[in-house]
Amino acid sequence: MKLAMARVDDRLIHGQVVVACREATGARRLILANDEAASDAMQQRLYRAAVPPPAELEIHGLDGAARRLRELDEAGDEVPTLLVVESPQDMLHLVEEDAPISSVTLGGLHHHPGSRERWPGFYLDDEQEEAVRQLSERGVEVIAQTIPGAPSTDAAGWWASQ
Amino acid sequence: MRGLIVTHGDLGRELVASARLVVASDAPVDVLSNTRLGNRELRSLIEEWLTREAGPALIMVDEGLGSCGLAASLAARDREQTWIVSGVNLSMVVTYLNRRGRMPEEELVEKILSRGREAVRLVGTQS
Repeated sequence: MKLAMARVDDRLIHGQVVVACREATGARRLILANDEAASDAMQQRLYRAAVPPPAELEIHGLDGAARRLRELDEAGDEVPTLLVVESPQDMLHLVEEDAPISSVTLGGLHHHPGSRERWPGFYLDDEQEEAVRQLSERGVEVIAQTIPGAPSTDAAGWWASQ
Repeated sequence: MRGLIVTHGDLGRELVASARLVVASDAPVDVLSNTRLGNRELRSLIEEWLTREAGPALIMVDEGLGSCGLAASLAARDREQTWIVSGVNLSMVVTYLNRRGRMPEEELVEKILSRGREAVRLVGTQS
């Protein structure tokens, strides 16, 4: 499949994703993998309204998203796709479920209890750091970059150097 | 009706400061910025603000379908007498400060929206 970007963003679907990332990657399909959103009709309605056509938004729970990504990959799907999850742990879950993800962008990780600023503007707690480390150990490229074209940090490389 | 402005960066704070230069009103209006905040944290702060006092509430956001508008919509989902309007601009804040408490809530919201729309126009062209 043509996974144009696999993005971690705790704001899920919002301006940076819909405008900057979608336009830079040419994504025509957005997949939001989030258990809460997948079980909440209001969130689904709001997020769908935020994505302008012709792009389409699919909302799946984590397991459903992993299944969908595997199916698209096996079918040789060529639609440029932008994947969004809320946390590094969610991305790791998809990778553990054999979703075809080789590169991850930490796009939006904001301040929250227990977090510290690991790179300018990127706040990670212990569990999130551990998930990034495990992604790195699995050979997944991980960068921290708010939007395409902005300064980026090799997050996986940072872990390898520790 | 209590008022809250939720925006990216310092936009809300600056809008209020600028509006107070236009109208000599000390009507309270609170401001939240999404800077450094994820969805859950922003939604939680808005919920806190909403539950602080009973009664009608107005939330003005910059982007209705951006992080501020989405967080406000989710925070207010089970609450009555709460209005969320998007595209907040100086005219809307001035109208809120100037008219708050002087007309029914529904009428005030309509006034704010109409003044906000009227402020967006082509005022000249060089072509």
